[in-house]
Amino acid sequence: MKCQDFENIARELAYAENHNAAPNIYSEARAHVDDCESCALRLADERELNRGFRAVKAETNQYQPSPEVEENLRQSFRETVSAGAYSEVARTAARGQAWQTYGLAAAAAIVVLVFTVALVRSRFAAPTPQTPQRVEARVIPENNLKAPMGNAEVFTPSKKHDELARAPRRKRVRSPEPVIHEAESSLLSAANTTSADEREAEIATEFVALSSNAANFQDGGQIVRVELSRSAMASLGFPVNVDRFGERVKADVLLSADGFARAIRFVQ
Amino acid sequence: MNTETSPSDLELLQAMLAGDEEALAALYRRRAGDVHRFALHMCGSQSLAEDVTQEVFMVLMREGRTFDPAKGSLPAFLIGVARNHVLRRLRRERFYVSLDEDPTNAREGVSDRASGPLDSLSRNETIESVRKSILTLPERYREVVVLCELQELSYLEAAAILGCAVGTVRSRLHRARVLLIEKLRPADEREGAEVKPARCFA
Repeated sequence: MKCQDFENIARELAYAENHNAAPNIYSEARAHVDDCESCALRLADERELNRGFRAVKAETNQYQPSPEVEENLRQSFRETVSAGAYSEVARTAARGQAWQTYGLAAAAAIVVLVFTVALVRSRFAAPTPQTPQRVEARVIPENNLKAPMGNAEVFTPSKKHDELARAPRRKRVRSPEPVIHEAESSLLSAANTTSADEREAEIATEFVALSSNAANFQDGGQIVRVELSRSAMASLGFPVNVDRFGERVKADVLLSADGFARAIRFVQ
Repeated sequence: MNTETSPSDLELLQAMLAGDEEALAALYRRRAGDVHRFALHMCGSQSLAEDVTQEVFMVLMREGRTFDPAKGSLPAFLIGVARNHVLRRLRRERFYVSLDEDPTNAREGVSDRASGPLDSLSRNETIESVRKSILTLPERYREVVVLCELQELSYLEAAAILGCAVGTVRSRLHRARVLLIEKLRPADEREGAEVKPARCFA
């Protein structure tokens, strides 16, 4: 046996000797100890250490926690039992309920926060009107736009699409020539069918196209009553009294289904 | 003929969780000593060991239902809880343990050695020096010494408590014993050991 091998079993050998259970399997180790002084010292150290451990065990085996510990535990136990806390399910449920409450409160707080932020952002992001347009927001439902327009001259963007597409997009319409025709007739008639009294009381121009792009009114559209300054009439080629340039005038704007203003007429 | 047998730990635990105070007392008297001694050996403070013992049984009262017998015995569970508490307290209150890694200082009161490091010491001195030496060990070595040597748990039980492999327990224990022998050896002999051959080739 080599010292390294002895090192591996030194503890077991000392332990077995201490328990008077050293079997013959350690005979080789004992023979090595007889020949090797350092391993003999190593074994002696192990024996001494085991003896020290036994002394500590014998001493501390008598140690017990003080009676106050047990009394404290009993007291806590009584309080716990009297509080009914030993229905673990109830405890868990109560804990779960508390968490649910916290969760709901947190969710509500988040919703309020998001709503507030959205509100604030929408207010700050709302564009300030560049033109003095005041939308009266009288939207005429599409299904009311049934009656033909009568004597309104009709412009069919589909027929004149090529021609209009060649024109500059921002070209001003200088002529108040009516350019709305048959395809839009049902929509255009809405202004005349909203109210007979109003129609009789109002004087309106013909609809003037605002865009050269073809508009498909088969998908529906809306006429919206707005208020503009009279300068807007001038920009569309209508004659305007300069003295009344700052006054406001009503207008009906024809919106196509995609939301673009396609035509306008002025109402008095 | 008396056929009455004492209830098992698990039965006592279940009775305790059903609200039986006497079951708690019986369980406490049966297992508090092990927990207390473990804590005492680990931290060296009687008051801290009592605190830990109380904490362990408070945990058992609160969370006894989480104990799974399939994962280990109740004593191992209690020692495991005690270990967590002791380590937490030791890290928080290090002044309870005089961690002196210098072996020369750990050998206070040990005089010269005639035939062994402990022979010339009285019994109390021996106990004191061994306990002090254990307390100077690093925690990972100290706990295997306490569990395997002082609590006499098997390597398997110690490994379950420490959450490591049996081989790790074995190697740590071997290293811990070597360290303890070094600490318990007289200073003059330790100095002489430096010139002594480390091994022979007989």
